[in-house]
Amino acid sequence: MEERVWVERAQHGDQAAFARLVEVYQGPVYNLAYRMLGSAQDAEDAAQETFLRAYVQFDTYQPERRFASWLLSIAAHYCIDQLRRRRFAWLPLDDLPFLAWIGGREAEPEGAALQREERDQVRQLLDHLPPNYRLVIVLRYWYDLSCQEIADVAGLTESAVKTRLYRAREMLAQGLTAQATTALPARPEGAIEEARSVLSNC
Amino acid sequence: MSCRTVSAAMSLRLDGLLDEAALARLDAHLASCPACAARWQAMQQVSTLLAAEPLALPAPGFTERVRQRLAALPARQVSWPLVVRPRVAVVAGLLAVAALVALAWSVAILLGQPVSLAAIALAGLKSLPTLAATAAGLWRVGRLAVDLALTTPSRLFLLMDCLLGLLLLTLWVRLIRRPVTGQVLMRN
Repeated sequence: MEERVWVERAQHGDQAAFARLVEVYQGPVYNLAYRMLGSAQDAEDAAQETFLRAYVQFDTYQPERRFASWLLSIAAHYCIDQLRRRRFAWLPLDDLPFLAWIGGREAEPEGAALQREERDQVRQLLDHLPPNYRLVIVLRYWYDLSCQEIADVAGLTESAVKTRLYRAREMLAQGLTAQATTALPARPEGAIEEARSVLSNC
Repeated sequence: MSCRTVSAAMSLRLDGLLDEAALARLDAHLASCPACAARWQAMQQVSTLLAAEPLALPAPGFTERVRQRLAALPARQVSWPLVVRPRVAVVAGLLAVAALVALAWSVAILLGQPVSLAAIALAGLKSLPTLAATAAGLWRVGRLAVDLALTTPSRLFLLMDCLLGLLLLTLWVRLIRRPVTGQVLMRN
């Protein structure tokens, strides 16, 4: 059955159709929230909140608009609002390089460790972008949306999207360069044991 | 192409939006400017890194958790959403106002007052704050309406008009707002 039919049914109060839409769009909505907010718990809350708002505000949906764009715009506005409410700049423990160096994850397989490092790197890069710039980058790379589609979701003009994309990419490139120059040297052999023995003697 | 404008061109190139001529100018600039070439390399690396990141997925059972949250919402939070049906609201609102004016007109006729729409509207507007501010005023108006309805020869007409006004008001509220409840989803 076409998505349009599911949406129409959900709009007229068909609960099974709405549940179907949640099932289909849970991934895209959750991913947007996760990339914007940076934590699994916050993303779960934001994704749930997005669907609640969609359900409650279903009458504001215009059928000529793409349903995915409408849903993602609800998620995007919610996430940006959450980020603006964060009054303090939290520094996650993972951002403290010496902790990762001392603690180590020696039992982790090499492939998994590489994936985790890349994931952490992406998260750290995104964390340094202002919310509005982060949004256009997330929509561009994870959803492969055109500038016009991003404009529709973010409530911007197409030229504003292009400007934000290039400024965001500039910031990301600077962040990547900074990461490369501040990277710690490889952990020396026996460093963990040495650190543990020092700590145990305290 | 200058170093100041080259970032925008790099970004457009990553999106496949740069035409041939601009592409050639960008390449020429990159070949002669090591700083911009390094920035271009970093932009490409970031782009590759982001493009390779998979979609993050919620923990299993997400739909069920949404159902539970919908069901747990207090009814008032979901039962009266702001539903925008501007055309219906305007038309129904005008009809309701027309019915209320007709009601006021008929009351004025029954009371033997001169029939003037402007006078009715003015009197209505002037009396609104007083009526709203004093329960006694509302009580007096209520009693007067009941007395009129029971004693005047045109009481049937007056009652019909009152009912029409009430009906239109109810319809207006129902038309511009649609009740939605979380519990409905839960029952499925």
